Amino acid sequence: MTVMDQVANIAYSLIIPVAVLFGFIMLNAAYLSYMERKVLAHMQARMGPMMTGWHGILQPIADGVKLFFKEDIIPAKADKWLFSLAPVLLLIMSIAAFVAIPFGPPTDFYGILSNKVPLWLTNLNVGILYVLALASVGTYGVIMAGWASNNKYSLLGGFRSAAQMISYEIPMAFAIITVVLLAGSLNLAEIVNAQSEKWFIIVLPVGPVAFLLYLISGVAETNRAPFDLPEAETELVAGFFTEYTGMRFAMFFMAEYANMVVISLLVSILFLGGWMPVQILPNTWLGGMPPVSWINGLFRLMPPVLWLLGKVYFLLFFFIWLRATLPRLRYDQLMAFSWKFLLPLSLATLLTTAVMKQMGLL
Amino acid sequence: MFLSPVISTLEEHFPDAISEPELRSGDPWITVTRDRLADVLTFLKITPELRYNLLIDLTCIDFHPHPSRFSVYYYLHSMEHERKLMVRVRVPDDDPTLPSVITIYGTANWHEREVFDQFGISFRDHPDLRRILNPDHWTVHPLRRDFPLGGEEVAFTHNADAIAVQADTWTEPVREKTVQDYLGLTGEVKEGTIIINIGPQHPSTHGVLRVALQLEGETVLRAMPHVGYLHTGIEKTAENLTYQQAVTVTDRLDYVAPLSNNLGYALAVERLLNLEVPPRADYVRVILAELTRIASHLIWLGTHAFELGVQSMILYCFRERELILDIFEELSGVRMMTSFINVGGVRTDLTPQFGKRVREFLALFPEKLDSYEDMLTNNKIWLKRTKDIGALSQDTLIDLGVTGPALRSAGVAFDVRTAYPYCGYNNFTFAVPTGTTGDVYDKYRVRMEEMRQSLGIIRQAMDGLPEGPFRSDDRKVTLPPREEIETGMEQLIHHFLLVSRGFPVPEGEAYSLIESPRGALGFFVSSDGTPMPRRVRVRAPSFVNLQALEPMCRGGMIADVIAIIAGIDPLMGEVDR
Repeated sequence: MTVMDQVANIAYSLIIPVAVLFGFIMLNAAYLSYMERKVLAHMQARMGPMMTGWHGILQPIADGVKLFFKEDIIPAKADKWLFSLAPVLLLIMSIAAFVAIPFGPPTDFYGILSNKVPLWLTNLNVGILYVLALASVGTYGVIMAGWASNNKYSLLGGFRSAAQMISYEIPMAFAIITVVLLAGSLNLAEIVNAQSEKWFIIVLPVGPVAFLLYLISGVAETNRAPFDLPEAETELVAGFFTEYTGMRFAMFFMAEYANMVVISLLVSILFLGGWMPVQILPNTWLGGMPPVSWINGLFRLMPPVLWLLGKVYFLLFFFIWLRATLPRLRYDQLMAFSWKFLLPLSLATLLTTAVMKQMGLL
Repeated sequence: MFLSPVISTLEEHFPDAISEPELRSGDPWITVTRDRLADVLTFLKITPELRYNLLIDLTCIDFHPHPSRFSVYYYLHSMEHERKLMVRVRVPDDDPTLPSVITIYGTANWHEREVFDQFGISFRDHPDLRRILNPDHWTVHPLRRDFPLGGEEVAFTHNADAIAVQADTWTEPVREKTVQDYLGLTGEVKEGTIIINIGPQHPSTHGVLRVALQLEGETVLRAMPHVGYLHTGIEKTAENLTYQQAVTVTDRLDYVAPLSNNLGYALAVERLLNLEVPPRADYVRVILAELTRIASHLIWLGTHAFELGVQSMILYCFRERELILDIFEELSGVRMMTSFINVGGVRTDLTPQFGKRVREFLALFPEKLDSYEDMLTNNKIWLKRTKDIGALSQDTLIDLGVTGPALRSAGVAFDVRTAYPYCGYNNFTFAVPTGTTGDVYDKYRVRMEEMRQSLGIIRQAMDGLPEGPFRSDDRKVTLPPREEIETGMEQLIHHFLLVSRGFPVPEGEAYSLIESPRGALGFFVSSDGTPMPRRVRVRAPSFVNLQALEPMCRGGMIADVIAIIAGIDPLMGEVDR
């Protein structure tokens, strides 16, 4: 193998995928803020950004430039090390989660490439555990930010966040184990493949319950409304990032959006069939009558990646919709909801799945 | 001479303490000697046939240079018997002290602090006699008549340095004050608690309210509201304007419901002048006051929902409020500070488009109101956040002087519009919505229902709107119309005098009480016979209601404090004046 081959190999297997993925994450984070502002605006009978470019399409770039040139303030009495480290840690953890996520089956891009390439960076056998672990480490970023700012509002925000993330990780983990039981694998790609016949959300009776459990926990995990207590604007000013300015502030923002995307990707992969196209009806229904198979065939024409992203964006839209509609829970109500309702329910779901699986009913 | 059964009873029990009994616009007024004040008030409160259980107002007038210089007024109301009584105490200049009545009426706390702050009358046995509106380091009492307007030097470029030096010597003792002092905590702060300041710059304090919270975890042990950040001396300013000019400063009190303030002030001055306004003016006043109520409640609903996390509601509410502001703009050319209701009637006649616009609003709004309720009333999270939060008993609320929706939500149907009708409110049929427990949710329900009732009042007023003049034709008070000025010499003189000097008002005092969106709004105007008032006292409902914040918050969580503030709906322009 020549040197050039090796270079090409590294480029193919590492540099290009990393560049594509990183570009996707960054652009996505920027334009999710645009999407959020636009969707919220239209739900609230207003227009949202309109001045920067066509319908404000350049707004995220203008925001980025602005934040980049903002003065970087570290409060005099803050713990400077932790204060600087916190947003970086949070952002790294949320971006690193993308490494293990498969975006589609191996593809040759309709014959453009000579051989099929996988649409993931690494196909970890324990992919789901890896993603969960990173989300937990990300919590440290929030707590560190709250602690290091030396501000009581930030501290309260950090405390809330620690309590909330720990409480909601447990029902979330149980919901995931339910899926793992159903799929028989911890590998995300195999979990998707296991849903080629039937998405896990419609596996009765446990599928819908586990889906809702995971969705609710996911919203809580990403600190989104109605569980946005750590940054409850009208109570704690901005919660754990009250003291942050400029790019550090932007990092918290990007991390939040990246986390939202990760959660949406996981929901799609675990419950909504990942990159599997929507099947209106089973192919065999009515003896495979032509209209049914035609429509299903039509759906299959769309590339799998787009199917996955479509589901992801629908879920993101759903998150924004929640924010426009629901009041915020109180701290103790939030905890009670997790420990007294979600946790028992998730345990029951898991148990039911295990029993039914053992009896061969699933 | 028999004036009123109340006065007879009092004269019987306190023959040597009661003097100068009189009747003013239906209310008995008495003067009590200083040493018997507490006894008389206790008697008035506990005697079953009197039962004056609500202290509406406690204020002071400076009759400088009269020898017994100050008069302190206690305006009482009996919930059971629906009648009022004014108790006056004369306080000499050389010994400005009075006994505190906090133990009798809890609401006296802030009132007494305000009188101390503005007039320098000190109240014996007051637990916390500090300045409330003016800066702590001041040594002067600005509402005294011998204190000049603008007695405090304002910093401009040419004198800023000199003032800064002076201010440095002032601020030293202020800096040493810790939050513990503000909370009234003595000694060591309890282990494991933190003290956090909400405000004066905070997203959900409705302006510049500052609440010092002592927290254990997220549980509130104590909550001390601090006001005065927006004190602009409106009462002092009004003393230096003519009666008609002072209408414009009343706009700036409750800037969310400026027309209510105009109305209260105009009624007080008209009472002094003994002036009848024509029926058309009364109807227009009612329509505008109720539109204002809806506009104000819309702001309350929007901010309340926003503070509990429903982001969209504030925009929907502002969208509908915009329609009301458009009506005001159509009528007066101004959107907020209209000063449209003034002494003698209203400023101009209705515009041709006014009726159409109001009817359009009446047709559109009920549906919008339903959609707000769809979003909140049965929302599980909304219920969890507002039910059983900030509830106080009826007696506590009355003791603290709370009025308006905050009191009605606890089941006390006290509404000035029905108890002491003004502007012909007795000609309209409307219900006074009440709640049961007085929690934040009940306050929400009461205000939502009030908006519906207001719509009904506006509809009735629009249907019954009489033709005729829109302001009194007493040419000593109101401007003559253009044609008369062009033809009559006397009218020209009137016009000249009214514009250049204003109208003189007969000597005396008058109190007007109206139902503003936030509660009982009182204007106490005293005249010395000149074209400028001697004193304009504003009984701001928000100021009084805010005293209930501390007992409402105790034992709740931070998030509840936000909900409770929103439920009280204070407006800092009115609190700080």
